[in-house]
Amino acid sequence: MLIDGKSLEKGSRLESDVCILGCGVAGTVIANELKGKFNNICVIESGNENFDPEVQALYEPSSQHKTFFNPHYSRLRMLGGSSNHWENNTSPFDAIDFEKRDWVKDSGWPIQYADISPYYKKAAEYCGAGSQGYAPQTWEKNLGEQSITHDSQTIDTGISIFSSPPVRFFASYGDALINDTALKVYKNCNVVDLAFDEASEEVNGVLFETQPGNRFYISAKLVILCFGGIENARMLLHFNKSKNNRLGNTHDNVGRYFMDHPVVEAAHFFPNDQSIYKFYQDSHADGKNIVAYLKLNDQAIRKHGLNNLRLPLIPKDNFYLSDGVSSFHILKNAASEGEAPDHFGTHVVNFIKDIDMIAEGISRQKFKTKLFDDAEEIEGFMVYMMMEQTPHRDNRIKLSANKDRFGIPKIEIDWTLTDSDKENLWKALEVLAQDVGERSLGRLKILKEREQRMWREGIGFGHHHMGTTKMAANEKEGVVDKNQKVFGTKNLYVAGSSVFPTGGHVPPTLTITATSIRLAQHIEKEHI
Amino acid sequence: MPTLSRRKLLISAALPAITVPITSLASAVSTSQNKELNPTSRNEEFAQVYQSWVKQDLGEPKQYLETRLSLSGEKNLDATLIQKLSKEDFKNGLIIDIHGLKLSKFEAAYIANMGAV
Repeated sequence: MLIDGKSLEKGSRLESDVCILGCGVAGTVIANELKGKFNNICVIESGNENFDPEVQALYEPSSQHKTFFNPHYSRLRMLGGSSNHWENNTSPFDAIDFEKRDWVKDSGWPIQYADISPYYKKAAEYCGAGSQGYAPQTWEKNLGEQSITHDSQTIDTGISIFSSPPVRFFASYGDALINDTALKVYKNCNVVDLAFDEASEEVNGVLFETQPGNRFYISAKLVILCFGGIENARMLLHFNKSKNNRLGNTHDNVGRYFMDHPVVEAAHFFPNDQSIYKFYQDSHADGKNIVAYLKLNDQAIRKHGLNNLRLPLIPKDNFYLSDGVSSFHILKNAASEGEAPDHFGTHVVNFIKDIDMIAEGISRQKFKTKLFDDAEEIEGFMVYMMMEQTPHRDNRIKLSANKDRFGIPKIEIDWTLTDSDKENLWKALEVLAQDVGERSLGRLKILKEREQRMWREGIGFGHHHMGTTKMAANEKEGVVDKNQKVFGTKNLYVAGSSVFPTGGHVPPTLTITATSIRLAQHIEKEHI
Repeated sequence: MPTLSRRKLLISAALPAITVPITSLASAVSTSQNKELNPTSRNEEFAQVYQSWVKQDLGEPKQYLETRLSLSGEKNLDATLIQKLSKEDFKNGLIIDIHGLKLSKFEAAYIANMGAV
């Protein structure tokens, strides 16, 4: 049943066995998995079926971070959550991502890859990625293409599967929820607090408002936070203010270890033979797009002490790959700031050397005219890297003094990319350059002279918010245990990428789905 | 609209792709006169490689090429040999950075030599 919270009569008393807070990917999957197994499940969602700017404004941070992309624009607060605008880029984590790696501080999950992998198949079906899995060999056979990494000691091939069109989770699975008589989805309901009994360590219910001040209470035997990678931390910090930090925060871990996947263009690859890279371009099969990408293998990661890294190859033309055009922008920006950029000499040389491509750019922009035919010839590949960020305690979501219209403090974001993570990227590219050279595949150009611009206005993000309610073996190191139960509580769980201790190089939705299925099975086992 | 051909250093540096045979070191070191291998438009770029090579205190590229060929026991410098020696260099970590472009030491010397003249 779908109930508009605005239609609830004042003073209504609501009850539930399981109360799921948030109806994005994690909330939808858990509700769907628990459906039919409990007598009274409710899902509380702030938004409704459509984008509503007033609801969306509840995501606004207190202030705009100077580098980090504003989550007000990257997340969606509505039924189905951010799946309403995702790219549907799915692939599983690597086994090494779960390991405690001595060279990656605060790495290591309290579970292994083997604990999650049984759920990936079903998760892939939820995500519209089919049931054929992500093994490169399967797709080499299906597509009749070859990977270039069979004889490499350093790099492997990974597979991304995109559903086309993308799966919008509530549009796809919402009917199954609202047609279930034992399940109620409440929309336009904003959670404002939890009722928690410190003595029994149990959450007894949830307080929510449909309009500021119009408050309702729903009792619950079990509560699952599915607010999202940032909002899980925000709400848990907010709840904890009146609960002596007993909800998983006795060691001040809630909101910390905040991570994303920084995305940067740090290299260009010039192949000897472009025809052998078809596997790494967009292929279509059964309503899905299949794209292979390069990645470092476990051996190279261990040998060189590197973070994980995704290296997709994106074909680009002469104009795009021109060093001169890039240097032109760097020199222009530096001049406007009255500074000389790093690698000044290189940029000047690039400018002179590539003056024809700069002329091409000016002509295109000013006169809408192309000058050189071969400007559009594919010359090589942009290597658009998705980096694993080392979890860092000082990268965090905090509560500010400013509040939203329901009285929930707005967030402040502390986020930086450490110098060691940046160095890791350059080291990884040196490893890649050696590999492709050794195997006569082509030559790599590492764009270190663009570094100054790359880490500022050039940086992109996966918009994958992770780590803020970290899964750990004990309360000292994290917020939830290996079954995603909040430390210090008996019946409060967290779902979503906020529980990921590390993020690999992988868009998290498939793993959010897999961990949500796993959590639902755990709840079924422990609480029925 | 003018149609201009524009092959860059980055492509020419992928030496295994070069199909023009070079029959001896003597011809290799004199390729600045060889229009087919070294069109005028590339001279400036080859000169850059030479400057980078010299800046890295690697001596004269010609001397390096002679020594390396002598050590390899090969007499004929052709595309196959360049490819073989480049692969060896990458395997052994003998990699030269030319404004971010990662070249084998041998191919860097080869290009630098063309830019030295």
